[in-house]
Amino acid sequence: MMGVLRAEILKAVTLAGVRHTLIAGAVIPALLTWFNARAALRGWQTGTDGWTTQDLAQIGVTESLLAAAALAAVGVMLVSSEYRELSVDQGGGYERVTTALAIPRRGPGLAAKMLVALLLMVPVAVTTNLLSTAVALWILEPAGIGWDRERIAGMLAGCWYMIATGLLGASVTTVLRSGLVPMVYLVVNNTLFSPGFLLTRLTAAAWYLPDTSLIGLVVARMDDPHQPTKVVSGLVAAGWLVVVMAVAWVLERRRPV
Amino acid sequence: MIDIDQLTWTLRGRTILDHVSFRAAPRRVTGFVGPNGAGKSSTLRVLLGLQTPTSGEATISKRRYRDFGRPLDHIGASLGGAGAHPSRRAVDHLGWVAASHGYGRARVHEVLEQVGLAHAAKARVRTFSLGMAQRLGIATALLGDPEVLVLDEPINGLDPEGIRWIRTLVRRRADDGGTVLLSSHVMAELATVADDLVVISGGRVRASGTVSEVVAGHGGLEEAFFALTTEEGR
Repeated sequence: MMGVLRAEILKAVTLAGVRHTLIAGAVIPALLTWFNARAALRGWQTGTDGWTTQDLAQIGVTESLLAAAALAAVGVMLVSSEYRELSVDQGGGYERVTTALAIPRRGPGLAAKMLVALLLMVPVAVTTNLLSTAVALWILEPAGIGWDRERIAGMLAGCWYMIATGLLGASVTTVLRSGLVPMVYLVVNNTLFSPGFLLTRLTAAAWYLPDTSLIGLVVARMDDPHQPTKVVSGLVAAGWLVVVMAVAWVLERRRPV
Repeated sequence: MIDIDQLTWTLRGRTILDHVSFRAAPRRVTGFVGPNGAGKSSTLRVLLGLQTPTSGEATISKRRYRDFGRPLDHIGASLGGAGAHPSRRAVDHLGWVAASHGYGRARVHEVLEQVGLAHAAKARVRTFSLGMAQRLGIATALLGDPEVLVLDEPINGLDPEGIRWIRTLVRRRADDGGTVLLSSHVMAELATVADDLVVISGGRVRASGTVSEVVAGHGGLEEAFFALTTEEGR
């Protein structure tokens, strides 16, 4: 099993796309926080643009959540890279076959890949949260914004949100054997708009969909009596992750390579 | 020893492999020949655990591929092409495969040297020619210095020097006691290196035996190939 883990780690870190996306996910939210915090503080101090201390308290939180898009992309890439084909002129073929030959027991192979995904995503999630928060609090200190229980709880929820999004990307890509749909959906979901979140306007059940339950971890309390608590959202998200991973496990062990 | 025993595989009502049986013995190079779509690659995929057959068995040293804890120690396989991610460097591709079995970095450089790719170790696989990609696939197969080699269409894309290199490699492997199973759709090329031939067509073994046994009764290699693998010939 150690050999399998070593192999999966090397596969991940020798892909430039994975490395660059992890770094971007850790650093870019902090940069955005820096710009936004400075602009927000100016607005608050001059009384323009309607900035309140409540709005200032969100600086750093919203930006760090963008790292979820990066981790979704990493999760998808870790799996979809196995199916990226060489050109016909080069004889075609893809890495998944080599993986199956070197690691014929597919269950442990998949478990190792998910574990490596987790090992890569946790430091990025923690770093981006801490960095964005530190930058925000440093710049917004004149407005009296500081550490409090709510911010710490928000950071923990944010970490789980990012990691779960990344693992969901990896699991769905394993099921579909293609990264296109999960990549587009998860990145749009974490940057532009969430189809699941829009559906909550039509039906309360939409709060319990995989992507909406993730968003429920980090979105502020709204005027919707059906909105579950963050703890419930977190548990539903974990449940969905277990279901998708179980489906991926069963399929990977039975399907031809 | 490779044993293929009554291998049958049907997919959506179509018979891909029809009771395929043959043996590849140690100290022999066994050529597995047939036209495109005959079932060569399908047979090898079943042998290497990539595909589950409908019935029958394919074993290496009496074990299924998936039952080997460290398969690369015993079996080296190249299924056409490099089997690598286009953006990865050759040395990194071999590096992760080697790490899966605890082989050191030195071994990676050894096999790159052996296949003539030492100069391209740090090049990305997407820059490789067809011949270089084939060599990388063979390098992967050689990492564990296995006693069994399974090579699917290894001469595709190789220049005459490369073809001669493959011939020397497989001959030396067999002479050292190893088992070599080599597939191709070019019978003439296989016959120059193989001790035994297995001819497959339409998912069925049409003939097997030594090269001279398979060719006997036909005018030559080409005649034997067409006689055994085409409807008109049969």
